[in-house]
Amino acid sequence: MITNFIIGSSVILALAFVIAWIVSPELRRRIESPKHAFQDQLESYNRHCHDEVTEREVESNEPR
Amino acid sequence: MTEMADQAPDNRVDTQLVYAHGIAALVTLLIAVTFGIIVALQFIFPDMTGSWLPLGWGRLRYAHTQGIMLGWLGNAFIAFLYHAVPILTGYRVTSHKLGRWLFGVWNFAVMAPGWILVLSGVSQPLEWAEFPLIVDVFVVIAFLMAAVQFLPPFFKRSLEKLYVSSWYIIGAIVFTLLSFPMGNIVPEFVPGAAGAAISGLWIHDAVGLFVTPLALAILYFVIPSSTGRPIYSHFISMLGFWGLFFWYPLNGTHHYVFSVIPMEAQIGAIAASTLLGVVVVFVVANLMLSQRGSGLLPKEVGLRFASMSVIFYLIVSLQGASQAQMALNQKIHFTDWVVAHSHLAMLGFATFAAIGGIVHAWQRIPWARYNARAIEWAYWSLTIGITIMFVDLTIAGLLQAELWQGGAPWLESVQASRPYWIIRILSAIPIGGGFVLLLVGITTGPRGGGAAAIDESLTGKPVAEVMPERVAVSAAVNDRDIRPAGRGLVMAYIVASVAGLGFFALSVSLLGVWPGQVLAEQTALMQPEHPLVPSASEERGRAIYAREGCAYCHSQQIRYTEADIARFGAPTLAWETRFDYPHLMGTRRIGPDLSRASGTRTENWHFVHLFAPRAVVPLSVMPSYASLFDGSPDQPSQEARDLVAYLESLGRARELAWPEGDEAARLAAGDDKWALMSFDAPLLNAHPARTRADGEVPELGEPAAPDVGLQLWHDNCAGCHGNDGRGDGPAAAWLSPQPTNLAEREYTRAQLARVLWNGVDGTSMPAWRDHPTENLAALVDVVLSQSTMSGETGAATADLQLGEQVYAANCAECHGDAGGGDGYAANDLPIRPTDFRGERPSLGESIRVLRNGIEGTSMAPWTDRLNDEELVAVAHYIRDFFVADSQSQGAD
Repeated sequence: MITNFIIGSSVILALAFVIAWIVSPELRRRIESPKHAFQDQLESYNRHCHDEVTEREVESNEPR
Repeated sequence: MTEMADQAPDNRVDTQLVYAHGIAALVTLLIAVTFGIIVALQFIFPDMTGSWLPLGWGRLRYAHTQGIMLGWLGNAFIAFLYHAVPILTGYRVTSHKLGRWLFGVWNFAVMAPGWILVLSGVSQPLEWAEFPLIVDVFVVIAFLMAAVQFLPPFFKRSLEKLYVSSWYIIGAIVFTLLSFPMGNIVPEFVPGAAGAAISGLWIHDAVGLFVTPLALAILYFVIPSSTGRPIYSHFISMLGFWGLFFWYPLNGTHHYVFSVIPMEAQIGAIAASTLLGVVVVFVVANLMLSQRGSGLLPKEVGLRFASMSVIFYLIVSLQGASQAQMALNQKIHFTDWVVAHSHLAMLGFATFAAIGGIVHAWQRIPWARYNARAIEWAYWSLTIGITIMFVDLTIAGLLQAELWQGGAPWLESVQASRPYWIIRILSAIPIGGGFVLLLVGITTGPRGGGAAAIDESLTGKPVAEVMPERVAVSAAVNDRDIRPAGRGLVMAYIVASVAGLGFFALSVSLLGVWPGQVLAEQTALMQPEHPLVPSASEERGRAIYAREGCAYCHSQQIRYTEADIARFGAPTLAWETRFDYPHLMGTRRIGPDLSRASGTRTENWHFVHLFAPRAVVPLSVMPSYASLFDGSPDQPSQEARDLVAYLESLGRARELAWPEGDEAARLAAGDDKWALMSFDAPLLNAHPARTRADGEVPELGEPAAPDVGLQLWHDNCAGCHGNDGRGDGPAAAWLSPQPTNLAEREYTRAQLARVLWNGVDGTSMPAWRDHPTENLAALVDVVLSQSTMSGETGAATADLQLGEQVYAANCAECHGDAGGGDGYAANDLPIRPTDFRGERPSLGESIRVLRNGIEGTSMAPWTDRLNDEELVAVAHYIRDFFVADSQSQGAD
């Protein structure tokens, strides 16, 4: 009984994901969008860190 | 730009807390690894820490696993959360002040006192839950603080904008808050196998709901950040997220396959384990595709750690799914295979992900020192070390499985494991060295030295260039989504929460609560009418057994497998564990199972074995517990007495209930085929060393090669009987009765075969029924060769006549009229009298025994009743009973 339940609900879960993916182009777009937004954010953060390190290097190399 | 970019979290990362937890992670890691190395060394040098209990094997083992999970991984994950949460959400974490408190609680209210208490003997004997309950309270407080610190920023965003790492972080914190108290507290109040069912869930939840989600959160974060490109598929990543959170909690019972836990629950867990393996393939494929273009060995070292973590994750997950299958599980469970598996999970997959996360964050702390070369070397050192350890222990596990399945003597598996245990110790050099290099890498070098790695990710191709359509779609979706949070957002969170909590509740119901009910019903049906309640001394002994980690080497569950039934006896029934708070079923067998230890050894043997294990078992790797004694095995402290009382109680309830109790239980069991398997076992206690007063003895046949016999002698007999059989081995003086001086006796082969096969009941001389008969025959040859009596001459007739009279008047009632040790009083004696037909002591030895008696037996000194002439006469007479092999062959 437990095994049937686990396998049955697994199949339903997987099917729900796949069917939603197939029938809804809108869902496809929405479900993929976080990775792009995250990438933008990462890039912005990486650039900020890079600049900050560079600034520190410049400051430390300036003659006193 | 999108909403996230507008929030530009440039300086929102609390780098001080990233740094603090990162350093704490490495420090606790080095301490925990040191504990692990000492534990590994003790397999080869069991006495290296003396018998000082705070550095005993069990306590260090407890400290090792909790240190790795909570000290190292806990701190590393928190460090990463301080770095990742602001970037993922665009908002700061809740409070810097709260962060300082969390740091303090995690390290000074959990780790430091947890270690101190465990090493002081305050602990609980549960896998991944070894810190005592008082420390567990602080762990829960710490997780609550972490929830307050890290979760609110996520709740400011709509669900569909949450990147997969965010999902994993939320899931890990929420579900650990649920599963940690369940796994750490409930087994203290739910006895035996029912408690083990809950404990099994936590063993897997600790990995599946705490470690894995946070490790995956790191991988999904570091890979796109380092490659400069988005992950391959966010859809697959979410499929993986929901799949993992659905299936992981349903895996727990696979730690107790073939146990008394209902088979329905076991098979359900096996099915879930298989499905989990499938979903991990999708997750790993997604992560690998996300690294496309970075090469097999990424140049950026943070990404390289992450990449290797992905490979370890694939291997360990497929291994996990396969070892849950019954065909493999019945062989490799309890072996070093499982130890290899857990190390690959925690030191391979999770540790490499955690290092990847720390290194990644470090590169972005402008003021942090960063030594790229040291970190590079750390990568190679750790990869080599962990690979060696994994391969080595996997092979060791297969070897142990083979020997156990084949019914080889237990110590043969210990002996065969030694080379692998040595290699494991050697693998600690690159592993420990790698961690030291990592610490060097993040504490030396130029400040801001990690910026070069950021250059790498920034010079990657922009997203717009790689996937222009997707970026356009993303922007469109995000533009539409810039709207204030409303009821829809609240509802979405409620739906997700209900789904997640539902998964967890489902696992606890199906694999924890329901099996508990079934086991309670079985117990009520099958237990004896008047259950044997443990005595106060046995209860105290149980606490000592738990405190010293004995259950981590000696399981207390005879599984429903042929190999277990043949080696240990009838499988454990539910009612046999009903007084176990918490359960001590164990997940590893370095020593044999102790479920039926009762009546297997004498109390005296136990005392000597605890005091000086290798005195009675020369090949044993058990640590000494001499500190439980006042300088000698014959001076046990109350703790030693309690511990032995507990050992002698194991299995006694079933033994006393048998066979009548078993018959009643059999009727109650109905057609429960697993219960019937236990009732139908040929022997209730099949321990091969258990002595028997009588019993069939097989024909030993042709002996194996002489060196086999000699080796057997030194490995098994010399500890008591001495190298030359003179009864003067290291353990001899502590045993009562003392080991026989074999040099002063001659034996028939049949008599030696009887002693070897059945042992000497009532003494510390065990049986050796697990050895092949040809080896025992070789051992017989060794014993015969040790006799120094061949030149002794016969007695005068007058002596024999007097001896006969004395014998009939004083000795025959025990030793029998014909000297066969079968007088009418013999059966009432705790140790059977000597059978003089099969054993002939030298004249000197006979007179010594008559004068002094044999301590620990019913043989008293006779000097107060017999004069010297009578003593000598009867000594001659008893020797005349002996029927040498040559005589019996001649008669034949």
